[in-house]
Amino acid sequence: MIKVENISKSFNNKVKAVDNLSFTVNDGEIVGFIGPNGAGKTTTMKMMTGILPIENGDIFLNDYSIKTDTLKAKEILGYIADSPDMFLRLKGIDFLNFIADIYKISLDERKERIKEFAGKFDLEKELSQTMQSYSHGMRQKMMVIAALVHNPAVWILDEPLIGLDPKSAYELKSMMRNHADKGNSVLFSTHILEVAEKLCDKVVIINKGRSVFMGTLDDLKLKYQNKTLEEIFLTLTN
Amino acid sequence: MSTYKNLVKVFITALSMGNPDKKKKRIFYKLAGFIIVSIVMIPCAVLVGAIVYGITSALRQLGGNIEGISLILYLITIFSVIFGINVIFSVLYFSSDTEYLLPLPIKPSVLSAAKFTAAFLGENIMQVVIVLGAFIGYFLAMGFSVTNCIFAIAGVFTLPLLPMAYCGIISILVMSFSSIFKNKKAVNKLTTVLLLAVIVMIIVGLSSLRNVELDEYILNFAKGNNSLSNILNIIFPTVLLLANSISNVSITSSIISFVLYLLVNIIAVSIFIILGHFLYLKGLVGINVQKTSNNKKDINKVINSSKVRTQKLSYFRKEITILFKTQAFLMNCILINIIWPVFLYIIVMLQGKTNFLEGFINSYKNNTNNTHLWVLIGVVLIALLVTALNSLGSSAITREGKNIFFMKYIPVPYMTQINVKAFISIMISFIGVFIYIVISSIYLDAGILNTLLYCLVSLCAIIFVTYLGIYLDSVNPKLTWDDELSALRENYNIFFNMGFSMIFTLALCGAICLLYFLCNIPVIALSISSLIILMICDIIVYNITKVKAVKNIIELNC
Repeated sequence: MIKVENISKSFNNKVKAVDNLSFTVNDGEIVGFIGPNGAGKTTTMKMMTGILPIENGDIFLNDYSIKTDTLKAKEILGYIADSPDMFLRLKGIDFLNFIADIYKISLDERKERIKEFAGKFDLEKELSQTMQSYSHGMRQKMMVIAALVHNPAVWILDEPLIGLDPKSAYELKSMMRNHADKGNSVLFSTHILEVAEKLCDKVVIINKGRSVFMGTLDDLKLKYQNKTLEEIFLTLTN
Repeated sequence: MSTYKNLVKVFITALSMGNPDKKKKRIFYKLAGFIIVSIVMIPCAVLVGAIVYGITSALRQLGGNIEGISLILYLITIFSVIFGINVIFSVLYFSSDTEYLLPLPIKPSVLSAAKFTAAFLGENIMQVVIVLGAFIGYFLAMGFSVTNCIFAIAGVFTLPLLPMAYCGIISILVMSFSSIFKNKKAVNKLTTVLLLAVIVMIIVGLSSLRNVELDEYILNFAKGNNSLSNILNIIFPTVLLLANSISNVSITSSIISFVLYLLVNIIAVSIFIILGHFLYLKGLVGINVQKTSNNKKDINKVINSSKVRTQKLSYFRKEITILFKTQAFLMNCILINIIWPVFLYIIVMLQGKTNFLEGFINSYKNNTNNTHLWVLIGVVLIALLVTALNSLGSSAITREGKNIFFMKYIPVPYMTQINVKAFISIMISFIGVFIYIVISSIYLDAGILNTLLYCLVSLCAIIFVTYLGIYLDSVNPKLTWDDELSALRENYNIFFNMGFSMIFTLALCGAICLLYFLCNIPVIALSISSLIILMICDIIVYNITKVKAVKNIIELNC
């Protein structure tokens, strides 16, 4: 479960990027995190992962506070950042082994998962190459594998579908569904409303750092009858 | 022209580091900058000035005039080429902004000229003070006129134009007419070979001094009868022209020399711009940062080669792999450590037939002429400066770049990550210093106890500079950089660490000398005292890092 409690964050003591935001992602749920550019989605996700310090409030990942039980909370989260250009001098397999070592994954477990994910994302033949030679999409796939190689309970995915080919995007969406169905939590940010509509159990729409809607898409459509999802989004964020 | 100006402005802004977010850190940063400039750069300039003054005064008695200043200017020019070649290649062909700029309606000559200007300004800001020091030293020895001063000021800012233009011309020609240098790895190999060639030439050149009578050599040098100077004058004619323009011989010859100096620079830069206009885009075609290997292995083989390692060992391997596989880090952080044995070799060669080292070794063996004290100071000095120079500690956070967030979301305590980075810096720095100490100890017949003591003192000094560097880098790391070389070149924390290390070295070595000469304390007692002082400093700086650097990393907005 992800519990976000009244968190705030400002930059240079001026710009309020996130303003008293609260929401919950229950076990077994996929929640879409939606908002226009600069709404505070990435900032919120970075606070959830410990990348950015939280000014006010707290975030709990399966009851571990990211503020006080930081390491425990980090151990159970899988995070895909918005930039896949990481450790490009390393070979794909070395990068994945490094991540597996960081999360203390046993040899058999990591071999099995790397093989499974590499197959799903068509990266089998690329693992022995340095990541500098990968295309943007291949790097993104590698980040997905690295985020999930330790089988984390909580998934926090920042624009995970960007750069993925249709097959890989389909695989990732299926994995998200399966993971949630097993009683885990998935939070992902997206700009693609159709994806959110098809995949999410709930959505959190934020604008200027504040939550403007929280609930199921059915609730949203009920509230704004005779409007398309796009129109509702524009109404809420304008 | 306005496009050119705007582009230069944008490139320069990208080069700068920016200030920390918090007011306290901003004040600390400005203070550190002030201290480094006033306590380190100015004494460096004074030192260069004093060297030029000394050489010029001595050569004047032998009938010389501009040979001393020319020598220093040649050295600065050669270093401009050595350091500039990689920078120019990177800026012109491998910076990430190129793909955004190319589709814009900008003339290739304007784009290449703007990039050249930004690289020129970024590279040469530090040497302005040194060149200025050299000119002041010369004027104090030879006298000056207002015209000479004006020419000197102009020369301070324009001297590196010719060497940088050479770098630009070489890079454009290489990238336009060769397909094998279309990736950065190949270019890095080329620049490494060029650098090694220069080092080998210096060593070979110095080896020839072995059989030379030093007095005769100096006399010839004073008369300008020197083959090395003649060759350098053909390659870098601006040096002699600038030196002539500031010499107080006649105003007419000064003006003519300066006009010729400007003319040569203008011609060189014009050739670069013309080549840029016609060939810059051609060179950019087919650029690939990394060549893809066709060596795709079977997945089972690849996965079965996996091994389980501890967090620390795995983090260590990751850091080492990046350091060794990244050319800029390999050259500037790792291979720079072998400069010291080369330096030792140069000293041996420079003694010529005077063989003063043998006298020093005999004095050490007989424990006379304070040689034990000078060796101890040498050990402290080299250990502190080697570590500050290789910047392994002071770029530890900066090297993470935009991926700094990785440090923050993995379940590894910050101090563990810092300690692994520190360990690598200490290990690599110490290996170089250790070899140096062992070789020196064998020559000096220092004995096991002294050797062990030198090793311990240097190890403690290395630990101090490493953690100090990491702390300084955590205050305001330069996380936005275009390539790895920029992470080192544009990172002021490296200079701050060097500055503070130099201040610390001066304080420690000064205290050792004072205690030795004023209180007659034996060197062995001073060695042990230095060791204890360094250990205390290590504990202090470690604890500061543990508290402050960790806090700085947590507070980083990335």
